[in-house]
Formats: sequence, structure tokens, C-alpha cells
Amino acid sequence: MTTSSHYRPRVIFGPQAKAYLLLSPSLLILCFLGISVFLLLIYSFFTYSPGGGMIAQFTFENYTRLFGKRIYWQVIFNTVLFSVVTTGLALLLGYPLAYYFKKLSPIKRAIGFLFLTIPLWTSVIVRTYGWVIILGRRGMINILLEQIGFGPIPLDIFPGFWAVVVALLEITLPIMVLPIYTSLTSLDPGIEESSLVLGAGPLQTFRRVIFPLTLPGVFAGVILTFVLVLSAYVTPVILGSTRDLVLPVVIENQVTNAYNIPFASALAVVMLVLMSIVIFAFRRFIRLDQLFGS
Amino acid sequence: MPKESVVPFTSQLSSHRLGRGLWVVFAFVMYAFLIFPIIIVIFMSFNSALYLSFPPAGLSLRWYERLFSDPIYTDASLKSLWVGCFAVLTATVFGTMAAYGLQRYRPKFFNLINVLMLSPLILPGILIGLALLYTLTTVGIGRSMVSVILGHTLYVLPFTVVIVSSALQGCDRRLEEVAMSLGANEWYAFRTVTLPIILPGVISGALFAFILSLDEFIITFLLGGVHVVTLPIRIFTSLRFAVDPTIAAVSTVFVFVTTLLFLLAVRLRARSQKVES
Repeated sequence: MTTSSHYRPRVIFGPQAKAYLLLSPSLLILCFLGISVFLLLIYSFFTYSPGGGMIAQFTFENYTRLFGKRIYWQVIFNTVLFSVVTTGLALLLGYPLAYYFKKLSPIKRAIGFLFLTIPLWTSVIVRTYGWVIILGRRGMINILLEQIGFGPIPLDIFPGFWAVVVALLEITLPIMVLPIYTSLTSLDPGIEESSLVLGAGPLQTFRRVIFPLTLPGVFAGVILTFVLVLSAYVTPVILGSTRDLVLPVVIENQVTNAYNIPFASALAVVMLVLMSIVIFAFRRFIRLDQLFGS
Repeated sequence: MPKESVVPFTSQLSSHRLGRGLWVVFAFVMYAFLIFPIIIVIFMSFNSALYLSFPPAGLSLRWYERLFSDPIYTDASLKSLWVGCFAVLTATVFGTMAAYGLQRYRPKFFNLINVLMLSPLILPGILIGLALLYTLTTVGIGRSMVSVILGHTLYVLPFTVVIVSSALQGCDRRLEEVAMSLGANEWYAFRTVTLPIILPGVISGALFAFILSLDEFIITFLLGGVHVVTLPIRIFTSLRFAVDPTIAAVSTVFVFVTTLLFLLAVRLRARSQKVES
């Protein structure tokens, strides 16, 4: 006892106190953010005063405006449609790609991952600009099609829905592939063999054994993709037409042009609700901290 | 039971030549899809013509010349660097402290705090920007450099916490205890034993955070307004007015810089994981 207490440093703070002391700067700014987000919920019931301010007077006006006008229903519909279409396509293309990665030799896989991560560290503005050059009316695809002999401007997708989806797919594909790949590699290789030995065909093995076991990865990918598309601003603004308005674009517009914080907050609340629905729908299948593992 | 069904699906596919060829084609189409927008931007920046043409009009560095003679892009780059440096420095210090507190002292409510720490990852940038904008305006800071730096710090904090935590998990705690049994106090033991071991992890976390900060758009756009024009915002505004290949040149330089930072970060992270084993 005496020898061990010899080198023990003086105890001023217990481990718990030390933990919170070290955590306090981060927790402080995080709480600031948390409170700010919570305040959005309250602001969405405040009254907007033209001229740029808001009055602390309870009103449902922001929500009646939001749900009373066709245009805002259209905006919500667009936002969800972009998310659903992009997530679906990302899963359709991403799962096979993750499966292919698993079978590659380590060196080829490293090269594959390098390609896969390129969109993650390059600026969204630069990538979107690239898509403008490719898909534009006088863009690469149209020039090539014209030279083959399809006539001037045969492909008219920019600006428009599919231009946005293609560009969003580029960034969501890596985000879909990484968690699926992680859950594929954590599979016991014996499982696949056993299924085949027991008489299941390759397709049946995939459908009944492998796919269900990788569902946590799939759901993590789906949630991350969905949320990313839901909150995309740059891509729809540059590549979308005026018909393709989405929630983030309208929110930004309300802040910058009208400084209508109450209405922007109401729109933000709708966005949060949409996000929560998706996360809650898949919550049972994944652990939240697993979501960030990759 | 037919004998060949014992062969696993994967090796069946790889032995099937047509199937294998299809997989390779599929993968290469995907790779091309992922990198094509960047390749075409780089291509545009070296093309002498104002508009895209096939075959290319000719090789030229005129857009780079214009880029470096035009102060708007250099000013924007400097703004980006300042914001990035301040935000990353703050986030790295705060994040390392938090990771140490979480990993070494295991506070009560560990899971709750962990989720709270990671929450900015799932919170869309537009909500972070909007929420902070009004609170900061109420406090009297409004749209300014300070607001942007705070926004960026919050945005990158989870990444530094995650990366430093994983470095700490790989660092044997007993080394620190040995140092303390030899008379070092906790701070001295951390500084001379633990920190050097986790340093590659900490730096790689800082580099990842720096890339994220450089690329960040919407938080800066909302919190900075016209006061803080970083590089992504400058490119965005130029894009909306005119398509000028100078944008391609600045984008190429931008991508080149982030690529270098990324490769450096990956290397350091690999090294810190080697130290662990």
C-alpha cells in the first residue's frame, strides 16, 4: 500500500472530473450548436416582420404557408424523389461494386479504393463544374454525339433532373460502397461455402444468405446516401432547372434574399423530420456509431 | 448433388471467363464515371480554346497565367487557408482532448457523449449554417470570419475525435502508467510518451479535417455571406456568371492540393496503424 501510494500523483480531480474537464471545450461548442438547432424549432413558430426581423409572437403562419401552397409540396416531393432515385441507383450499382472489390487482389483493391475515394476529397464545386462540361448543351457528350452523326443537341438533360441525379450518384456511390464492403468482409467465408454445399444455387445463396447478412452495411449506406442527397445544395442549384427546386435551395433563398428566418426554420424542420423518418425506419438494423465507422 | 456446386460462388465466377470479363468492364465503367468530371476539368484547363472542342484546339497555359495574375483567386485561396488553419487547429486541440477524455477516463454517459460528438456528421451543413447564423447574429457576431471558423470547427470536430480515438485505442496504456510509476506526472507522461505515439494519427486527422474545411461550401456561404469569400465560393460565383476556363485552371490547382494532402494523410494513418501493431 505504502509503496504504491508513493508514486501516485496527488489526486485533485477524479477520473470522472478529468474526463469532463477534457471534454468540456468540445461539449461547449457542441451544446451551442445543439441549442441553436433546437431554437430553429421555436423560431418556426415566430412571426416574420418584413424588413428582415422576427417577432416572438406565436403563429402557425409559417406552416400554413408551407403546407398550403402547391409549390412547397412540389419542393418536398422533388427533395424526396431525388433522394429515393439516387439512393436506389447507388445501391443498384454500389452493391455489385463492393462485391467485386471483395474478390480483388490487395493491390488491385487498393487501386480501386483510390478511384472510389477521389470524389470524397475533391470539391463538390469542381465535380459539378466537370458535369456541366460533360452534360451541357454544348458539352462533351453532345459534341461527340454530333460528330458521330446524331445531329445538333440530341441530348437535352442539362439543366434538369437527370443531370442532378448523375452528379449526385458520383458522390453517393463511394458512400454506399464503403459500408457494404465492410460488412461483406466481416462475413465468415465458410457461410457461403456451407450454403453451396447444402445445395443452394449461387443466386439463392446470394439472395437468402449473403444479402441478408450484409443488411447492416446496406442500411448504413442507404441512410448516409439519403441524408446526403436530402441536404445537397450545390448540385441541384447548378445542374437542376427551375422546376427541380429542393428544400436546401429554398432554405438558402429564404435566408439570403428575404432573411425570413421563421419560414426558413419551418422548412428546416420539415427537412429534419424527413431525415428522422429515414433514420428511425432503419434504426433497428444498425448501431448509430457503426454508421460512422467507415 | 452435382459436384461443381461445391465450388463457391466467387471462384465459380472467376473461373467463368465471360462473367469475369463483364465484372471487369462494369468496374472500369464505374471508375471512369467516378473520375471523369475531374479529368475533363483538368483537360479544359490546358486547352487553349475558350470553349470545349474535339479534337482539342491546342495545349496552352494561358488560363494559368490569367489565374496567377488575377488577385480574386489568390485572395480567395488565402481566405480558405486562414479559415482552414484556425478551424483545424481548434478542432484538433479540442478533438484530441475529447478523445483522450473519452478513451482514458471512460466518463459516465460514454455512449451519449459519443453520439453527441458525432452528431455534426449526420447534421446537414445547411442546418448547421442556418442554426448558427441566427444564434450568432443574436450574440452580435453575425456574418463574419469568426462565425465561419466556428462553423467549420464544428463541422470537422467529429472527424478529429474519431481518428484520434482510434489512434489512442492502439496506444498501450501501460506505457503511460510505467512513465508515471517512474515519477512523471500525468501531463508529462502524456506529452513525452503518449503524444509522440499518437502524433501520426493526430496529424492525419488534422489533414483530413483540413481537406474537409477547404472543400466546405454551404456553411461558409450562409455564415460568411459576402464577407468571407473562400475558394469554393469564388468558383461557385464565377460559374454562375460566365464559363471561363480560368475556373478550370483554379479547380485543377485546388484538386491537386487536396489530393496531395489526402495522400499524405493516408500515409500517416497507415504509419500510425503500423505503430499500433
